[in-house]
Amino acid sequence: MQIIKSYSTAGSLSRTQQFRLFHIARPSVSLWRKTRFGSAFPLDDIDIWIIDNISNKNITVVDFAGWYLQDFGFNTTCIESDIIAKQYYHDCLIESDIAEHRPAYINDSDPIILRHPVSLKYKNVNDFVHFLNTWTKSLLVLNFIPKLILHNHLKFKLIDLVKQKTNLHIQEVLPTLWKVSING
Amino acid sequence: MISERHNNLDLGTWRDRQVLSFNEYKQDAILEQEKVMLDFVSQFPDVHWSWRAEKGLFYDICRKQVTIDKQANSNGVIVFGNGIAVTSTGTLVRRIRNLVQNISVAYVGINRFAISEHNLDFKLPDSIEQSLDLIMKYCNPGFKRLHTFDRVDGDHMIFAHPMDCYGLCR
Repeated sequence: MQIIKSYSTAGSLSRTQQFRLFHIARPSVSLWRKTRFGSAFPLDDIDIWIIDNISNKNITVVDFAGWYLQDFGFNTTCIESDIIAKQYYHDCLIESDIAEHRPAYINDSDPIILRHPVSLKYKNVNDFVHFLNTWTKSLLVLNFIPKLILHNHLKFKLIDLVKQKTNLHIQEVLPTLWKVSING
Repeated sequence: MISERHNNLDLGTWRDRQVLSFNEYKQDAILEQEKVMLDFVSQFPDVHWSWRAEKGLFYDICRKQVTIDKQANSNGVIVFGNGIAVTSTGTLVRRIRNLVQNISVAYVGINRFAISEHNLDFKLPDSIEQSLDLIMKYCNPGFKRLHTFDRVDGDHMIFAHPMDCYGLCR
C-alpha cells in the first residue's frame, strides 16, 4: 500500500495540478485574465482598502499575483514564490523562500502587501514573528487568516501572542487585515 | 485532466483530486492520516461501521477492509471531513455525543481549522492539542488521541483528512 506522508515530497505533481494549485492560491489571476476581454477587475474590500489607504504608489506585492493593482494607479514590484507566475506576468520576480528571506532589491521605504500568502500558511508563531521582523522595514500590509498560523486559536488571539514577541507596531484593521510598521 | 483509468470512480472530493494529481500515483494510495484510521478500525473486524464522511476513493478502499453498513445496522461510526463540519466547540460536543450515544466504537477526525469559537463553560489549556483532547474527553471520557500530526503540508491534505484523530472503544 502506498502511504503518502507529505504532499510536497510524495512524488512529482502533474503539470495540470501545479497550475490548478497556483490558481487556487491566487484567485486574482483568472479575474485579471478576464479583463483582456473588457471585463472590469472586480475589486474586493481589501483591494478598496489598499487603494484608499496606501498613499505611496510604489508598492511591492508578494505572492498573490498582485500585478492587477497596476491598473489602479500603483507601480508594482511583483514577487512570487511559484515560477508558473512567469507564464502570466513575465516581469515578476521569483523567490522560493519568502517566509525566511527578504530580497535585498526591495526598496526599504516601499509598502509591502501580501494577501493570503501560501508561504505563511501553517507556520508556527515563532516563524511568523521571524517573517514579520525580517520583512517589515516601512509598512507591511498583511491580509491573511490568523488561525492558519499554528497556535491555539480557540484560546488566544494571534495578535496578542505576536505582540509579546516583537517590538513592531501592529494594527488590526480587520480580523484578516494587519498593518505592521516599525515602532517609533 | 485526470487519467481515464479512474473515470469509474467519484473524483469529486478534494482528497481524491490531490492524490490523483501525483505522477506516481498508485491505486491503493492513502494518506498517512488515513492509515492511522484504517489501523484503528481494522482492530474491530466484527463491527459494522456507519460512514459519515465523503464517499470517494478512500471510501472504496475502506469498504474492502471493514464492513460499512447503514446507520440503523451499525455499532460503530467513522466520522471526519464534511461529516463533522462544525464551527464551535459547543456544536462539536453536541454532535459527537449524539453520534456515539448508541455505539461501541468510533473514529473521529477533526479539522481544527474549521472550529473558530470556544463556547463551552470551561477554560482550555494553552496548547491546541491539549484543548482538543479535553473537548473530546468532555464528549466521552473514552476518547483517546490516536496520533498527533505536527506537520501540515501546504493547504492540501488538511482538507482531505484532519490532523487530530481520535478513537473511542467501550
